[in-house]
Amino acid sequence: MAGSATPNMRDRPRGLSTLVFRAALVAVLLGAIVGPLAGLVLWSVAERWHWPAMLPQQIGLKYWIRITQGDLLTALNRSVTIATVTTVAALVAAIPVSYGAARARLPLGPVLLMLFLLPQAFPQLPVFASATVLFYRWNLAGTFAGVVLIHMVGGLVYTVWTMTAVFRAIGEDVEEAAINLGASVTRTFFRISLPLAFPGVVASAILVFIYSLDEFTGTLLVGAPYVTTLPVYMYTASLGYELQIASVTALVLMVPGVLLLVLLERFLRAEYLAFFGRL
Amino acid sequence: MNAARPVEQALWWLAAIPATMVIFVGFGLPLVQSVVASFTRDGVLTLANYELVYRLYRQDVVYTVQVAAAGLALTFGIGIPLSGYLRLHHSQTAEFLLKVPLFVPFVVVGHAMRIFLAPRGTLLVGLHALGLASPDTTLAISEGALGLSMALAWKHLALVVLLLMGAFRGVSEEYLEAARGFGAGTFRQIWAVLVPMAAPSIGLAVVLSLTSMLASFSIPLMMTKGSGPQMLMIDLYYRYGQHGDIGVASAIGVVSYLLAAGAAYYYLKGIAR
Amino acid sequence: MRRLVAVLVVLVAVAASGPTGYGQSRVTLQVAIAADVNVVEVHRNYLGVAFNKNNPAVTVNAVGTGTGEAASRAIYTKLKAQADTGRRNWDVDVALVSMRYASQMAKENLLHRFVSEMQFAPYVVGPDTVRAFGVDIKGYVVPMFRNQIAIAYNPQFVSKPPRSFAELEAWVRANPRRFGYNGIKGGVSGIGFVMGWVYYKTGRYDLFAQGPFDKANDGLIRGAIEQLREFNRNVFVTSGNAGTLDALNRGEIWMGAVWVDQLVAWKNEGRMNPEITPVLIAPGLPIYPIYLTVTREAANRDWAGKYVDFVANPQIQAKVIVEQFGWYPGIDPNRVMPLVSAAAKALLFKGVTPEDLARYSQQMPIGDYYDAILLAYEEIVR
Repeated sequence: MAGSATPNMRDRPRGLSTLVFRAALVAVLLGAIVGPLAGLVLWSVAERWHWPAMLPQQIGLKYWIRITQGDLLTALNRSVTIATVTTVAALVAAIPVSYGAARARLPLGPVLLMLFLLPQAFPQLPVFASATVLFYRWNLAGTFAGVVLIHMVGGLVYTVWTMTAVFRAIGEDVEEAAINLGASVTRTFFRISLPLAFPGVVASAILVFIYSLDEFTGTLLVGAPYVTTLPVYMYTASLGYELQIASVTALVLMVPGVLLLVLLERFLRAEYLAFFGRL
Repeated sequence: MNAARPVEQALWWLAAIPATMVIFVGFGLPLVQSVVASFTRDGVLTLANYELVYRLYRQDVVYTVQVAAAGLALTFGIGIPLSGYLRLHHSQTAEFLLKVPLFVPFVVVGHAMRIFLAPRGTLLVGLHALGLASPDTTLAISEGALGLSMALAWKHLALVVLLLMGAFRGVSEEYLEAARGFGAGTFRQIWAVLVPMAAPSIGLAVVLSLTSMLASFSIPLMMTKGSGPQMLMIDLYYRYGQHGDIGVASAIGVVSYLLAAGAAYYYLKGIAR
Repeated sequence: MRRLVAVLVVLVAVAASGPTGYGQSRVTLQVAIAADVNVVEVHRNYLGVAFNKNNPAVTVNAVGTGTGEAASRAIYTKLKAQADTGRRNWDVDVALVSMRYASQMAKENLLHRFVSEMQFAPYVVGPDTVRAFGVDIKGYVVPMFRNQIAIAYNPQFVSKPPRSFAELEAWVRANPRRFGYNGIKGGVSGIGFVMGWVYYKTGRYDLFAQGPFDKANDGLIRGAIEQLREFNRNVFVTSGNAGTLDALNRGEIWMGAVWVDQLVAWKNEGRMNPEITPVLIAPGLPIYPIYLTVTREAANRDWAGKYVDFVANPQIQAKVIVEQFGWYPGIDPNRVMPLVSAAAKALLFKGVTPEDLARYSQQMPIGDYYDAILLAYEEIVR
């Protein structure tokens, strides 16, 4: 164990054993975290990899080029379109709820907030299977609208909760000043509160966008038989042991999240990140 | 804050309807319907679905709990000492690395772990490259409970570390200095100071991970196997997807609700703070 | 701000309106395909393109709905829902579905009885075009191709392949965990193997394939499945159709139950050791056609029938179905095989000869027995 850490160690130069321990810790973490992901990279460029070779016999970008054509491109386009529409819809739908809850204008606000958390706290598969049965009845199954709807079910919590926090953080005195100057409540909201909340809107938009892009369970059920997004496409490819295609798709799916992590790591508050683990 | 006027109140309610309807139509109603469906077969009220669940899947309930428990043990066995160590000895690199799995979708984790832990998977390639394995070794972890709990732990560790780090940071430096004054090393500081003082947060993290692992679907689906016990959600998907048997699928669902329900209570209570 | 909201609303509305936005002046034939990616690609890249060349007004939109029985069930559920709500102009014109769901759809009046209107109707022959799973399907279906479940082996390790289930049993006992199949949850090749096993152990093929269903035969089924549990102790159970092929290719197993068409496809793609050879064993394994059907309320019912007719053309069957993709013809082989090149025939019948097919191809059991066997497997073998 790291018992070598001495009292007041902050004030002293670190001992060699501590340094070694820290280096080892980072190395182990690197292996454990990056290792499985490195496997994806290896498979994505393996044009030929037959047992019993330890490494691919032929390496190339043949499977990466598939992104620019055919089914993979279709799935990518569809995923991005669905994620965009879901994000916009979830934002628009969430703003009144968040603002109302933050300003205590909605009676039962806290209860309402809990409601939006439900889909992330409860087992999703049985509920979505049941929803699919209903969606078939309403002719929503296998449609674009049905998939957006099921993505909103899981995604609304990101917009509602994030924006409630943001609206709460905006001082009410600013709004009251505007109202006292004769602005209507609605006008105040659009001219004062919403612009102030813009960073929060962007943050929650990013969260929903990524949630929707990665959503699998609901899409697999509700999207069947016609709507195939990237995660579903990846599942089908993996099932058919088309490991290269599945790995390329997997890496594509990781891009937005990793970009977000690298670019915005410092700005993302722990609460937002905590939501993410529920994806 | 002025008390909102009734008209305005009504307008806010009206504006909140679309979002609420989405949850109602896409979650509330289906949830209720699944409970009803679990007690219905051919339009008749019955316990037949539960009988079949008992006949076919009782071992899978146990298996699911076992895998979740193993995943939990792995996650927290690593997560607590790690977060504690990082609380006491800050490391930017380690913290960054630990956040990575947060941004890797569940399906991708499943696929990555499947090819990583396969009998001749990329883990073996790595071990071979390091000279730790001979070419004719095979690993058989990807399809077993171990592989599954490893994959679940990998995905959940990031969230757990994040939550625990937050809680540990909330523990005042004074307590730690006092402990150090008594000659406590890193391990003692973690075990005797950080863990007890952050106990509520640890509890919340345990419940969060447990509910998520019990109901995990995409990771076991990607790491699917042909025989032996299965995770409950895989059974549910088989019953629904292959047979269209919404009755038995819903009954499995209700079992999973019950497993989650106790935990969910604390979850809601915890996150509401 | 208001303008922004307006734009967003329009965006949502346009996106949600989805695929109905195009194709008013032309006909878009919706072909839903419950089969592996290679089948979807045939329709998209070959059959659809060729049909469009002959009929410029018609664009074929081929959509895959996944693999396995779940994919067929998704199409069935979709159509059933549209029928239940009394809708016209269903969004599927041609449905390519498994035997199981084609029979269910025929039974529940979701299909159009179109075959008699086809030019090539006389070539639609075989017992599997008359009855399936105990349901009268005559006139509702045209097999796109037929697919056989067979035992594939690696000659490097297996010098003398088994010719019967009894020989297979003995071989598995002598070579534990070197034979693989995918259980009943990972695709129909595994299901077919289990059905073949039950036929073999009970010796009651006619009863299970013809009916009538009698619950009293459950003991018979369970007896056979209990023996299968013993057999499975020495078997490597893979995760799916493709999993068995992959294990064969990697040398993890030396023998396995596979789809003949997938074996050929993998070889053509260079993903499979070309030495692996299929063989049919006595008393037999199921053959499983995939059916072209026209839905009852298809928006383009006439074009749908014409498209199926086009696929049933002996020329297309010979050049595309048999030569290019290595499937057994969906229509009368006597009309198709003379048009197939010698090389393609040699490849097609390597291991499994036409005589084998005639002797050892079996039908799936009727629906109730099928379900009873799967249930017994799930409970006893797991």
